[in-house]
Amino acid sequence: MKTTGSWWWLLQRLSGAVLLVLIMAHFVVMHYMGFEKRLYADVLARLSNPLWKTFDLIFLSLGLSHGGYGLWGIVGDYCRSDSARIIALIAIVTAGLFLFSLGLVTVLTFHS
Amino acid sequence: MNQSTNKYTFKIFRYDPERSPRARYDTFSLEVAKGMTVLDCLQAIKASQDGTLSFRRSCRSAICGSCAMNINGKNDLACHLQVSLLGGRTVTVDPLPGFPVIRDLVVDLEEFYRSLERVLPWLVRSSPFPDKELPQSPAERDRIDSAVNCILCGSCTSSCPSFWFNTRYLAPAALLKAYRFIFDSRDEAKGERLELVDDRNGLWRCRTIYNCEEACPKLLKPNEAIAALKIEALKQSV
Repeated sequence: MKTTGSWWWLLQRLSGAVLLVLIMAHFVVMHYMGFEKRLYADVLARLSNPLWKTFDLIFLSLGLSHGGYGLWGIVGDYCRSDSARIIALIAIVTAGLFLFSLGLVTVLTFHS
Repeated sequence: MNQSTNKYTFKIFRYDPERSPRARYDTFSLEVAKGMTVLDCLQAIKASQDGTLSFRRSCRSAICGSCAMNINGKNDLACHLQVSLLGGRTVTVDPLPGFPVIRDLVVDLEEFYRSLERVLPWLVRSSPFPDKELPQSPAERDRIDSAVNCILCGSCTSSCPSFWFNTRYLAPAALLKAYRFIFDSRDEAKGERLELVDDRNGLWRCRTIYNCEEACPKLLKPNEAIAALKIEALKQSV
């Protein structure tokens, strides 16, 4: 199977659609449900909830993959040389993995 | 109408590398009669004011695509655009953006034709051609109808920012041509063509900016064609 972009293209659209819903939910929760006024204990309680943990992990992985692939697309637009593209790809993947690990540790180990 | 009200100022991009490496704008004043197109005006300027002004033109009927240029910031065919339809009394004429300028309004279309060649712009069949015609139903023809009308003027490709960044990108005109054959019921090289456009510098460089559709003087829709090709490429890779 020879494909250079169709699956990534589909993934980008699907993750974009899911992210749109998640971002709206995140926005409503953070700005209209009183969380901005709540204390550490409230945040702690929310982040201890397995459902919120799942929400956050999906949000984290889709946000990072969507953003990372978007960056890779920009590199493809502007970057001509293969070596520069490889360096950019390594940088994007490394940054993505680092941020994902950081998020993973935060979400999974956060409990009351 | 008072004659002075028909006077237009033409600000025209000039570049002659044999004389100067620097480009400039020359300004010409011209009486424009009702119905005159930008090409009529350029020909009048060339005939009466500056014989060195260079531009391409051929059919004067908006079917050859030779006289595509940037008029008041928008790509269009000079032979098709009437001066009276432009707002204001100053007409700024530039060469098509994104292509190297050879001289004045004449651009180098080498890269444009090379990308066109990459999508095999001819009918490919492995089965033998019938003795007489190769029939196509009206519905089959409708599918490619608008794409067939492309006159290869280069307006769409020249207006595409993705092409400005990367001249190796196939760009809208070549992708529209690929669409025209991939969805042609008589063609038998769909898989091969899809592989050609499913490339690092192919389909996926399109950012859906829609400049190509705004620029097309024949009102074609390269963006829709590219979207259909993306879905077709996805289907092929399943």
